[in-house]
Amino acid sequence: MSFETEITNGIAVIRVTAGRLDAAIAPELKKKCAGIIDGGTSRIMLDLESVLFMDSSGLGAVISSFKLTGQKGDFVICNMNETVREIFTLTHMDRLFEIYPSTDEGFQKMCA
Amino acid sequence: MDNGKINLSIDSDLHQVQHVGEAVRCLASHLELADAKPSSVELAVVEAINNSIEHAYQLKAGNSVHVSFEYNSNCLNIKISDYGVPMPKSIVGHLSADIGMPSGAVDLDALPESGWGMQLLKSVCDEVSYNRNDSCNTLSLSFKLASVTA
Repeated sequence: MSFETEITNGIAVIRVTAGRLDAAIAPELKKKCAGIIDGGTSRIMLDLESVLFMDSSGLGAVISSFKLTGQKGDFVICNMNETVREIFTLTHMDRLFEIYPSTDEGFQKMCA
Repeated sequence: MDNGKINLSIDSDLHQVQHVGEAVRCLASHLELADAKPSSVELAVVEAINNSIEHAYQLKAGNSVHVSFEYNSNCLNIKISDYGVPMPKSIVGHLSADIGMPSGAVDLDALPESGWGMQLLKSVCDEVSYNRNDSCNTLSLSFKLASVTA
């Protein structure tokens, strides 16, 4: 399994346990998020602490998941390393997503 | 600096791409890249190989993607080749155009979920070109080495 999910206080934390969020597992992330949203939770925190590499397919899955949360949902990303951060910077997606250095800070924002 | 060339091949299986990516990153880490980082070289190669598997081979396993890693004192040249269908014009077009973030308010529904690969690849390489010859698609990536800018 490439992901671990925990739902606390209406917030689903998806921890990517695979070291690479790439074309091989991106469809799994989309499916995971879709399942969580279909289950009634539209507030998602994506924890990328274990992710050492991301490609455009991984980015596409993150964008897709963000879009699925919709206007009434919430989507934040935490624990991004420098290599992954660069993907967001190069595509200017860092202007769109809320990115926090830790899950604690992500929770603070989501619970505010 | 010595010249060097290393050839790698994988099956057209997305689960195999990481092996080449990691190998290329390791190889690149032994060169003095002018502007790029080894992780950027890995990203570019992974994007190019993904492109071959997804578009040229339409996700069918059992075909070969070849990666040639060649360097001299001036630059690192990496060629990713396949014998699949030609690269779609829409993707070739991404080599010369941006699909980047729109300015101002974002229409989330219109935000693309795919097509970022070529933009990322263009962003980290010094030069990118595509060629098709004798049923072979080749995406050529070039990275300057530090001696060029010294």
